[in-house]
Amino acid sequence: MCGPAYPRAIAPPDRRRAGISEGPGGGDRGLFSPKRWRSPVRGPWLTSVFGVVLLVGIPVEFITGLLSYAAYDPRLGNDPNPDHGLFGLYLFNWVTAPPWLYRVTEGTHVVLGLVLVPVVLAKLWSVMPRLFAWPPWRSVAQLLERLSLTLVVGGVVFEMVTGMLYIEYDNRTNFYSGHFYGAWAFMAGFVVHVCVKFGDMVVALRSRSFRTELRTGLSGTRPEPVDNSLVALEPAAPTISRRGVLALVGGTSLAVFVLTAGQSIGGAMRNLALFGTHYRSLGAGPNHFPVNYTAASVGVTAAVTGPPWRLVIVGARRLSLSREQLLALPLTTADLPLACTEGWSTQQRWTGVPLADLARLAGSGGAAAAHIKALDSHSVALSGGQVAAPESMLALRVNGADLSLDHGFPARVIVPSAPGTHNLKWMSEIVFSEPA
Amino acid sequence: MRRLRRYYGAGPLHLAGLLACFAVAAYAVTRVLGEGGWLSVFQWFVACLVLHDFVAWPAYTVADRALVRAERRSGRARRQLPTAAAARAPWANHVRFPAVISAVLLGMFFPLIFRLSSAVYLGTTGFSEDAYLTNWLVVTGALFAVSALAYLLRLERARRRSRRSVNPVP
Repeated sequence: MCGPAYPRAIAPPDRRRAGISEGPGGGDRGLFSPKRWRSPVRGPWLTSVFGVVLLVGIPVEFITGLLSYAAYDPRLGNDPNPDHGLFGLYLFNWVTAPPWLYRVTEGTHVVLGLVLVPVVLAKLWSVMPRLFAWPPWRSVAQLLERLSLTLVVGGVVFEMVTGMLYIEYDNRTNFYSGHFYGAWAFMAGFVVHVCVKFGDMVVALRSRSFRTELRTGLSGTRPEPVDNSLVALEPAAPTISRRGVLALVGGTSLAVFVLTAGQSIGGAMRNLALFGTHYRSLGAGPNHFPVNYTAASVGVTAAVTGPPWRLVIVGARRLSLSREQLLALPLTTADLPLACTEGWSTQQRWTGVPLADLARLAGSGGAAAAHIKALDSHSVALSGGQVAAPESMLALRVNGADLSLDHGFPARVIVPSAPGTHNLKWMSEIVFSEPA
Repeated sequence: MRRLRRYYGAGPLHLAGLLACFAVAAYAVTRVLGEGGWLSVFQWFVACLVLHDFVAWPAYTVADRALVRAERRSGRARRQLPTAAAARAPWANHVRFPAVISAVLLGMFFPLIFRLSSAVYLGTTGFSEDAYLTNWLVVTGALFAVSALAYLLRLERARRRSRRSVNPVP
């Protein structure tokens, strides 16, 4: 793709004569001169193709993002954004069925978000001449619109950057505040931008046939009709066709997909996720699947998880249970995913005591809400619905073997469809309470 | 209404939509102020705009211009070849494709590739972050190799075509 000022202009004489060229106060204004822009493939059609992809993709990102926030069950106290105010007005208790729901919504959010990065970059490249439009505004309306575009452009790049740094464990940004409130500010600008530009987009998409473009090679590539906005007034000779640009952007997105999606999809594709954080598996045999936080990293050692370990359950009465006592209770087995907020996930076969049984054992009834605590001092609130779900369990075994220390030995919580961060490992205490 | 159009430059819906948009954004700002580390949120918002518009975009534009200029220079040289086959196969896109994919991957995954989060990464996954630089180099190498192979095939096809045709490339 090309920026301004290509060496050899091939401005066809008829374009020069068309009189559309300079606009008020033409002449040499450096970057602000419309003649500086030479790409022969820039134009409303190409911009609209990228635009329509984002018009579908960005709402999916927003909805899956809101769902991820809801999945934390902020109203129970697991709230990374306690000042959410009106931005929490839609919140509902997160569901437990289907068990793969969070795996799919969050995997989609992260993988689609990554795949859209090349499309966003291409879209921004395609409208770059607008940034240097001169005069900067012709009316108050246009001035306000350009201000709102800082929300759109700054917002989309900010959302991409905060998201990518977060999933790569680079904590230099304030992810939970930035990504959440940034998304609302971005969407405010995005909705207005779509409303203002939708008509132009439809007209531009209809101006050329997509199929014809896919059949047009470099030799047949001509600039779009001059629109006094995106199309170069003095285009250079093309060095890439429009289908070439689409292949370049699509190919980059495809590469990003192949090199990351496997850590969410699993199976053989996981080995291809060379830029995912969880394409390698720690542990051996039945415990051979990716780990989130090793025991060593949070200071959990065999000394505290050995024979003296007890699980304390508190309800109407307080009980202290050894691992042997837990294993002697009726056990349930279910195939459930671990799905992290970072988008990676893995499904395994877990065996353990249903949380509802533990609630009844503590004298609290099967639909009590719970506050669960772990040896590494993590704690999370679970809803009554999550405790009551038949597949919610205190897992003791995985794939037929005892849990490994890194996977949460002696016992970990697994809740269907909950974010991985709620599936605490190295459990120490469960406090049941009647749901409010 | 006409007065609004004259002084504002668009219809009332346009104005209402933009005011609503700024209201939502302003409300988001008030919410961020209540959370820890709010200053960094604003700094990053501005940094993202500046990094894209005034660092990334000029940088790749300059790089692409250099590529196109190099291709043009070699094109002039290629036209002097007796076979005229090479002239039919410009190579710029065979550099562009692997370079763009590789650069985008680097831009997206630099914290992993440059091991900027190695301590957290080790604690979270149990693995060293060292692998990503290798992964990136291997992927980059593979992309350029495939692209080079595609170019050689194209060149070969052009050569065969020019041998067959009565009238070689004009």
